[in-house]
Amino acid sequence: MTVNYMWYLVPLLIAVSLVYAGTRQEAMPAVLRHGLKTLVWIAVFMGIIAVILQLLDAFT
Amino acid sequence: MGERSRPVTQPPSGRSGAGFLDEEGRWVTLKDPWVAAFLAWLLPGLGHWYQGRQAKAILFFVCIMGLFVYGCYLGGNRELGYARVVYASFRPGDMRLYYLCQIGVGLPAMPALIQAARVRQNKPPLWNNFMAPPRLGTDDDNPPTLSRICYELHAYFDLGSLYTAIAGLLNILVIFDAFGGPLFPESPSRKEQEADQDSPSTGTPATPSETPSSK
Repeated sequence: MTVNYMWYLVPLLIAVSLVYAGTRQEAMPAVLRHGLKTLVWIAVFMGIIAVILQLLDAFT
Repeated sequence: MGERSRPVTQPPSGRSGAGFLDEEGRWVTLKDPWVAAFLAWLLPGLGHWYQGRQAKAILFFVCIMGLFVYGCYLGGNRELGYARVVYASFRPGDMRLYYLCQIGVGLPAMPALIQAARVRQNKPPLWNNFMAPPRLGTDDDNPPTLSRICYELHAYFDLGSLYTAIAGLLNILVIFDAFGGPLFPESPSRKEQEADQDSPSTGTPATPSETPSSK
């Protein structure tokens, strides 16, 4: 069975977001809110980079 | 940029030592920050547990140890030995700079130092090559060489290295949090307050009224 290596990004993304948020907030609800925002921010940023790379690959 | 630590205010009466006010106005004591930082390095979350910040201790332990253990699982197998991606080797031809990041998790990465010391003394590695540095060379004998480990693990060698290295780097953030408290995002109200203090009409320069946080 072939596993798409991109799936290995998911646990990394969740852990990085939560730990980063944990060093910016103290109360747990605030940590979770901040973590979710960080997760979305990183995912969108990486998605944009992926789209740019796909476009460069398609047109070069 | 744009972020700044909330100042460490004077503790409420009856409290002593370093600390800070959290989002809900509760005083959080950092106890001895140096001891907390050392414990945080020794085991992710242990420094926070010592400070009584149990929720964050559990969060950090689960996230960081989860990454580290999963990386160790990816970077090994029963035949080669587990955790072959975590090893201390600074020999010519095998400079394992990843270990400088992995040692950030503290005690869980320490068996690699024991294995490296044994290999330096020409003794066989312990525990079925767990965290042992690979043998230098290109043949297929045992213990396995780095070439054979990379060949058999394919991309999982890199994935395991990445997971364990990021776990170590994340724990450095956690050590700072245990030492000096969280680096709260700057709130707009605080910006306005500081702008008022900076304004020339008051004639007083903005000075931190309390001891700044150590972060």
